Amino acid sequence: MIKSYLYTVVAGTIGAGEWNSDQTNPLYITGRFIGFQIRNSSFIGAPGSLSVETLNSQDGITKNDALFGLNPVTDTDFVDVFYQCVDTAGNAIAAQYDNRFVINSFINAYYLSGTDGDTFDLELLFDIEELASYMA
Amino acid sequence: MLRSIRKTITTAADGSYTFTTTEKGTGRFLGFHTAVGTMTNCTLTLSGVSTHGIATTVRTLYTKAAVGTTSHVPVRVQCVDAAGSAIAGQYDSPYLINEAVKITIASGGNAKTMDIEILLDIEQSATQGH
Repeated sequence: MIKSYLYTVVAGTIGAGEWNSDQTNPLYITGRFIGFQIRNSSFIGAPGSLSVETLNSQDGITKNDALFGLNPVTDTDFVDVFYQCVDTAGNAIAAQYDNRFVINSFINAYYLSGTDGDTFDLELLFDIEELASYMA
Repeated sequence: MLRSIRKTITTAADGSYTFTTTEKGTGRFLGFHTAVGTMTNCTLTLSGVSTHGIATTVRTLYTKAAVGTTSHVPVRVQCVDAAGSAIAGQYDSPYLINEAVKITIASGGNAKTMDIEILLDIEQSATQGH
């Protein structure tokens, strides 16, 4: 199913000019990361940088995978984000791209190097499977 | 539906590790993630294992030496036309046909660790015709 996540960023929530998405009750998802848009941005000074990654701390080894980054942050119409595919020998395939998959991870977004009071809406779009399960 | 295979790997003294799923699936092998713990290098092979038909068949889905960094790996294979000729620029995910998935590590070092998660889009109710 297609599902969107909206984060209203307000810099200054974790440190000077910084913001971090809520991880107190993370929702683990499996599916595709399709893309993002940024709206209603308002900056006190120079815009900071945004990083969005998946984070999986359920396994023995914590894993972070970057979904995308934006520096400086600016209003951005919806962007469909693609990543290069590889062949069965692990070699990158020219001109073969697809949305990135997410496996049993939650989303971790953070804004750095801004100014307290910077705000913008970050909207992420996924195609996720609610009933995804493990294979024994 | 999406299903994942998740293993925390610890290699044997000779640097090897093998795991084969007990379940089988029919559908797409989309790719995998690795998260490296203490393992700095290895040869990783992922295979589809078919035990129906005349004999057990092990088919390589992915194999690469020098796997040693956290990675996101979407795997594709080139498609062919009805005459079996490769079609330029046309790729799709490898398919599993009533197969188990086998994870093999070689040359990983003694007691080294790595997590792997494999993503499949398989049909639970896929059946075999007669």
